[in-house]
Amino acid sequence: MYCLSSKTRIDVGQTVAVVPPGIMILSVDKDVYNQLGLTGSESVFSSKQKKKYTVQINMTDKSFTPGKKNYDRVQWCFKDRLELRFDFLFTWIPDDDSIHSASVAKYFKDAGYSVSLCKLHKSVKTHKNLIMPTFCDLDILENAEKILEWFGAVACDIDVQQGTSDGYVSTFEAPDPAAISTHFSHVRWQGLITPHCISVLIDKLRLLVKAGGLPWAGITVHGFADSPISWARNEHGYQTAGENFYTYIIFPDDSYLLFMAVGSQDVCP
Amino acid sequence: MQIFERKVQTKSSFFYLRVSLEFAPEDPLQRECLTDVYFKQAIDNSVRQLFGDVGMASISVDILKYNQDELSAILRVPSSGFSKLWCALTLMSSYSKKRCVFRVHQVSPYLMALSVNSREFVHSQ
Repeated sequence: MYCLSSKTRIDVGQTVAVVPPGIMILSVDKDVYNQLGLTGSESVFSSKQKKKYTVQINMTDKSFTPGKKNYDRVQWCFKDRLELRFDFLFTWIPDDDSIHSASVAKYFKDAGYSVSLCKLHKSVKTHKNLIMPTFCDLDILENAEKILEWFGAVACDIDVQQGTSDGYVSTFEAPDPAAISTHFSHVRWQGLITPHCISVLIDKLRLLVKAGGLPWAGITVHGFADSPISWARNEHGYQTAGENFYTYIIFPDDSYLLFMAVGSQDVCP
Repeated sequence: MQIFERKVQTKSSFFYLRVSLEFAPEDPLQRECLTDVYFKQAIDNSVRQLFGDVGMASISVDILKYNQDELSAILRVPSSGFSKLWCALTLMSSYSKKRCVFRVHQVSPYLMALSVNSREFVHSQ
């Protein structure tokens, strides 16, 4: 199950996330941490001016069952010491295929919470005669920054064809050497997407590249800017931006490029 | 045997900003007049006001994408000029004798990061 508090900001206020296998992670400021009374640790991005603390609760631990001290204390801290209220985005992948994933929504609804279904937003764009880099002729490591910039330009729907035609307004160019693609598709989904879903998509892209005769296919996955964690459950913060994403490019010979990008308040993956 | 090479880069050559220009409601500028060239000129003027001609010449700003209807743009600036540009945009108060303000919505050392904004995205049906 994956949960993330909605409309909360990690740099101001409190943020909560739940990740498999049932770990709840809270990122709270000093006042809330002192009032909450749960054991945690100071955030690696905590400063003298702005103290932040991280609390992790293993909800699948044997001691975390109703009636046991651990569970009762955590419940008391949340309910009686401090009334923390959040809206959550959540999604659930059941272990049993016979159970529908929407049953978790019914569970919360029956418990008295207001639940609404959110759908992924999809957009498709196709480009004709798009200037794109030729990976086989490029020194990838030397031009890594320019390649990632080009992918960013496509994602931002920037007209790469303009190049330096008007040097006053922009001097942006595609990495050299470049070729013209006569048919280029860009599909975007936005919402709460699970790693399982992304893994299935990558497998499908791999098959498409091999069978479809494509020179390559790429996928970029963005983490939420206000998530309390990023790669390998390392802490994530937000300074001037909360970017944490990766771009994975698949080639027909099973080689790949992987760009992993983090912000100033992140641990290097 | 599988071989891979890894390169870690801790500094970015460029910074990217998603900005928009807002005019006072009681004194709006005709949007048809503000093409990408004039928008660039507005940015250059803001830098010149704060840092002079030398400062303006030392900061090379590219407008990667411009939306004339919304007066919004994605800018690219070398890392060395990022702070100066952001300061200049923040302190700009008028263009063509009309009161205005630059809003900086997103900044990042990666252009890819500007393609989405989880803070602005609305989860809905």
